[in-house]
Amino acid sequence: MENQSEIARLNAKITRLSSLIEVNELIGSSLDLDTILENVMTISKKVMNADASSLMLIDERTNELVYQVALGTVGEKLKKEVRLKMGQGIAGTVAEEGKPLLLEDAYTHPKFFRGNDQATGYRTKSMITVPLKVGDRVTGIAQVINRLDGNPFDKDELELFIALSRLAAIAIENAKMHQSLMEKQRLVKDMEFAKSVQESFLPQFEPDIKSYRFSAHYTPALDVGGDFYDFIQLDKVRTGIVIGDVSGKGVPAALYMAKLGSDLRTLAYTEQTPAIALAKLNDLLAARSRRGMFATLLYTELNTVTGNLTVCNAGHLPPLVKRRDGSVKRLQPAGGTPLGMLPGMQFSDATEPLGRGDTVVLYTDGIVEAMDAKEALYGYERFEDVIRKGPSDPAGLKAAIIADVARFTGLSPQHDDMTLVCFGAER
Amino acid sequence: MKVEITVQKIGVGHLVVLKGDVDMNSSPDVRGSIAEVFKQGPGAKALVIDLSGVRYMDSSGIATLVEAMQNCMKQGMKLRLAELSPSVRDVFELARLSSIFEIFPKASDAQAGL
Repeated sequence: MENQSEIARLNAKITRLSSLIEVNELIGSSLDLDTILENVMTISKKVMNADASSLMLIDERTNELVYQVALGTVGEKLKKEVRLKMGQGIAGTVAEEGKPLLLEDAYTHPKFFRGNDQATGYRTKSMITVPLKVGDRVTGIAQVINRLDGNPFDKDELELFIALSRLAAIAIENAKMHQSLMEKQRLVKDMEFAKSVQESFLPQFEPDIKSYRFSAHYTPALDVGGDFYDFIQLDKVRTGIVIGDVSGKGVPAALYMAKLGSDLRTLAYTEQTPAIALAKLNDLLAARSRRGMFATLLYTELNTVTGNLTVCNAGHLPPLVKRRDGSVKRLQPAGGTPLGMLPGMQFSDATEPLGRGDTVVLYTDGIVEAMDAKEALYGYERFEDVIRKGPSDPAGLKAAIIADVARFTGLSPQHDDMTLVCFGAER
Repeated sequence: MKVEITVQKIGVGHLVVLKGDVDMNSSPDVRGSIAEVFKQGPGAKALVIDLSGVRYMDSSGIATLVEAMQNCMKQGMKLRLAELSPSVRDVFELARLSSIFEIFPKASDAQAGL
């Protein structure tokens, strides 16, 4: 008799060990979290000979246990409705203490919550609850309820379930890491896409106007940015040349810029003067203000017949003009406030006559505030110096400025969007 | 550099003193502290922000002040900025921000005439 029971015990042990191997294989066969969770609990239920099984993971945002899988007659109801706090009920207690718990009759435990049984008519008796652990960190709990033969679970089964849960915890962690890696990769792809969409908002070509030359440079500090520029062909004589800088960086600034750019294009055509267009644009932006976001903007209108440049400056850095004789003039600072702060602001237009061989330089603060490794600023002195010494044609001057800024910053990372627009009449 | 923020009650309302750089990294903290002030309910006439300890402020810092001003206006309060350092004053002048914000030489001056 003793031999027979010993054989039975050893047979049971072999079955358990082979089921552990089976579990390991099944778990390793997928990186999909839902598949793993279902597999783990289906196997647990079978191997443990249990009537019901469930698995809860800790929601890191709320530090609550949430049902992921609940197999058995009341499983679906539990999955939808129950969240447990740390220390609440058997599951919450095991998660909080990080220690496995074997109960012959759950009703003898003071923390057992009978509400689910009362609601469903189910009678929970024997129960094993074990923490899912990665290192010392508890990530959830696994539970099996009621042996199918009516006997309570024993210590051998507790050990088996602990071993099984250890494998499950690692597999779940791997799947979670895989999931977050996939999400990150998707975000990277989305950002690359956003970058190309934003680039499509910028002019694809420089204006083609007889005896005038235009050249622009734009590099955001992140994938997308809040700097922008535009060329707007208003009629045969007038061309709008715009540069702007939205507060902040990245996606919020890029979205704001997209809206601003399209509103400005409409207003540039419909309004009589740059000052009126910017006053209306300001009101549109201020009416939908979020988080105090604003934009500085410089709207210039070039009349290619008279050679006059109308300048309307909403809080932006003043344009520089390189004269034919090589001297550099900094135009008047902004006459108006940045756009989008308060409604009802007024703006004014100023006129600057341009001669043959004069080149206008519009820029954002990413240029003058470019930093070297010691965090020194590039500054106006260097900026005006390179303009003075550089070539007069817009494309050549733009290239000389960008090269000079790059020489100054060296390998330091670019910390702000950089935009530069140069234009002028040929000599 | 992180920004140090102290908030105190004064006769006319609230005084927020900022010390450090107010930039992309630190402006969310400043925004959070100012939001706490607005949660304290009605009764205040003004929010005074002392900027004497701020040497650098970028566009996200300015946006934080703009939002504070817009919230003050909604609650019938005034936003007053005090003691701008020369570098911050330059930024404000270049961008014409003095026509948006009420600016005072000292925090004590900003509490007068309310």
